[in-house]
Amino acid sequence: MTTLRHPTMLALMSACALQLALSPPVQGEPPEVLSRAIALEQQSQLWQAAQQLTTERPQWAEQVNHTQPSRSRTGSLVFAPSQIADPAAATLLLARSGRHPDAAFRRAVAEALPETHSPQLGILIAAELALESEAEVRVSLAHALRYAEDSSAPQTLMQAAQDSDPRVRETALLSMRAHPQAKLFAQAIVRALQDEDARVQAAALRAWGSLRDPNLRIDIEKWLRGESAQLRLAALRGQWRVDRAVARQWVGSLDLTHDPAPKVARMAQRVLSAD
Amino acid sequence: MLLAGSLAFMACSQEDDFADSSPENASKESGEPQASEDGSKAPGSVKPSGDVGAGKSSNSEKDSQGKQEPSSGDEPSDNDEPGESGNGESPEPSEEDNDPKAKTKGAFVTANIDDDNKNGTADFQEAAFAEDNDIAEWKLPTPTKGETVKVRLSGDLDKLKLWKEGKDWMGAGEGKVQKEFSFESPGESITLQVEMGAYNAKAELEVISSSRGNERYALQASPLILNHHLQGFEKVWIVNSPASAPTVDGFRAALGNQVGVLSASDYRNDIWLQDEIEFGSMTGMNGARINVILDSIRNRGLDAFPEREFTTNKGRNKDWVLEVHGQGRATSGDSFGNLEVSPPVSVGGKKYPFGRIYYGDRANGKLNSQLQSFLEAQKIQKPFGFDTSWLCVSHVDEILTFVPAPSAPKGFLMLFGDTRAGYKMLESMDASAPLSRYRYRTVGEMRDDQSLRDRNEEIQQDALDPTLARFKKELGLDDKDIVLVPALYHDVTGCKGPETAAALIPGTVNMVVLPGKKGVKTKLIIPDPFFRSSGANQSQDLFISYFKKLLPDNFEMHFVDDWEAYHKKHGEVHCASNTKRVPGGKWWKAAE
Repeated sequence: MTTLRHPTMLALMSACALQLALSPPVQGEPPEVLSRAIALEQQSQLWQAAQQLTTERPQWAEQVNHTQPSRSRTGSLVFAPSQIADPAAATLLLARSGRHPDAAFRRAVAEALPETHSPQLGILIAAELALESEAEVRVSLAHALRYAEDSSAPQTLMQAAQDSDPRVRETALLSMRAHPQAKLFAQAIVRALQDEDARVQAAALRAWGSLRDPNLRIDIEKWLRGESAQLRLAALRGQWRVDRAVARQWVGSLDLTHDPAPKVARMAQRVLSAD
Repeated sequence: MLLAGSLAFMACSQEDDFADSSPENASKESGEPQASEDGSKAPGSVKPSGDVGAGKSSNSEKDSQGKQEPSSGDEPSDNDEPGESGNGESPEPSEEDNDPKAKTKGAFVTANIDDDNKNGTADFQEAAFAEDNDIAEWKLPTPTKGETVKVRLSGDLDKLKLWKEGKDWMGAGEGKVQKEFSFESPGESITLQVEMGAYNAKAELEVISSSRGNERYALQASPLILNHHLQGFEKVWIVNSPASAPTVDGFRAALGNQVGVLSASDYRNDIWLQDEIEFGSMTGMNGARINVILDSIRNRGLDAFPEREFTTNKGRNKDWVLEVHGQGRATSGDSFGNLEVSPPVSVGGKKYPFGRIYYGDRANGKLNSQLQSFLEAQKIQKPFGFDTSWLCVSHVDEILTFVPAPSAPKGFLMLFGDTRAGYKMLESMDASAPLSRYRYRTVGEMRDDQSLRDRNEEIQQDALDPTLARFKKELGLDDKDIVLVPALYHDVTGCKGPETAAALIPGTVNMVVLPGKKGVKTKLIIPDPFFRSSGANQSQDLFISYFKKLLPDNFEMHFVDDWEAYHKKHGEVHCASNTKRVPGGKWWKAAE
């Protein structure tokens, strides 16, 4: 488990949080989702930690607590990295976010978390993920988790992969494939192939491909024969990354170079033309 | 002094014996107001020719209505000549226009839709007045003296007024449309004043006589022509805010007083100047110029900028017009970083001497359909769209740009952000080279991030390769016209979906291209890629060294720090700024 840098962060590690953090990261069965009660307890401890930080480092805390996000090119809110580039800033930002009524602000906090370089992102995000009502904010939290390297991060990502909103599940899977410990998520990724939402299935196929594990075999035929070009592309590309010979066989047997979707046909050409 | 253009118009007639050197017309060339038969002033003859004869904006003597001080560079700068290979010549008439074999003959003018008397009404909608500088004189050849001549006018008659000696002659003047009549030829050219009321308005004047048969003359208003990067620049603007100070300092260091700096606090902290407006122009054969500002329906803080600085009279001013097309909820696709123009190209025998407009048409939303229709109606820069939906911001300026390059086959190069080139660059570098601004501590860490590589491979295959192929087709380009610039993208949230891309390494193609006078290097203002350790300077930057070797030597490159204010908010220096340029040249030679 990652060592906590700041003494006040110890306050965050309640018995509940520790229990989560120390759970085996991935098993065959999906992990238990963090309960609201535990999340509320964690959030309460986060606020206490933030209060403690404000006492210990008043000047710096004042600055972080007053920094405001400004508009990105798309109009979304973004914090200036230099204002929050401190691991402990994650605690202050999340404390502000938890009390803030504006979802756009909370989303800005979620997107800013990686800029703090906090070594505790996984555990910090877990409670937010459980308590946040807006799916778009949870999407950003799930995205931030790809940069979380603490021991709680895998568990929190698994939690995100079970979210009620397919966009959050999709993002969680894409974060899994981008995560430094991506291989931990193999079973979760395979499970997500059965998700009811096509976007989530596509994300799972992409994540499966990026694992490049020849032992993690799946049958991609149903996707290759399916209606969704997005799924056909993800399945073929995934197979290409896992096993090129099998991908070539599929291209030949299903004549995918003539797929009506240009992206699929181009991928198929690439499969055939590559060494 | 009469407009030099009148000579050019005269020369559009086909035969020398129609040349007019009468004392009367010679006196008109003195520029003195001409009295008509009834003693009133003819609209065309009262034109202050000095405003339009030089092919430059008359802004230097512009009014107190929000115009820049001369020191701020609003008037044409020393850089008002085209780039080395640019198409930026002024619209001043030339001998070539006098070619009797010229394909087109007639009058080609600006649409008189600015507001020279600054009363908030388009000049065409008003009775003629002395200050109006967009009513062009035109000499109509006539046959043998005494012969009866019949003239017939057809086309956009409600958008045309023809005056003769201060009197309504044909067209829509005085509330009625006069289509045809006959008169006795004076045996010499008659001087008319031509006034058009809309972009691209077209009419044909047919002159029928027994001795010369039927002759047809085109009367046409300029289309709106948007600027491309090979045109010389007049001035650049950027917005100053606490976060953007390093960027502004970089622009100032590169451009001195040719950069105008706005205060973010005056514009509700909106710093995305590229996205609010697009500069363009109309020009006429007589050297007239009207600056046109296309105003996005984006309408964030900088929406006030054009009206405050240029078009203070209900969206118009002397030699300025503001155009807004579209309505409803704007999307990122409606921002004008998503609206750019290629250099002049020839595609399958079809010439586009003013380039082609391009935009993201499946962006986060897309360019408003009403604006698309308006741009298509201009015809001369035939627009095309392509898929930018994979990008968070979805703007075309994130992917590619064009720079002048005299040594290149077409006189320009397309710089295209390419992830294969990005990895090729990374693989050429020392893996242990430190990076300070990225989440990767070294070049090797970035290079070896397999998920990043996977994602960039997907972007390359699914988005960039098709885009490059599309540009080759639409602009008639081949590999010699293209430089693949190292680029890497990563996924960000805050846009329309869970996974949309933005530049990981500052997007160097999102640069500002500023051609200068002939023989002067084109200035490129480029986002600093920060491919170096924290203590190192730009001379030690690995990306900059690599990048410089990719381009010919006709550039003066300025790498500007836009990291915090722009890059981390999904934009770069091009998004941060806007550039007014010298008009592109003689559109009438390309008129259909």
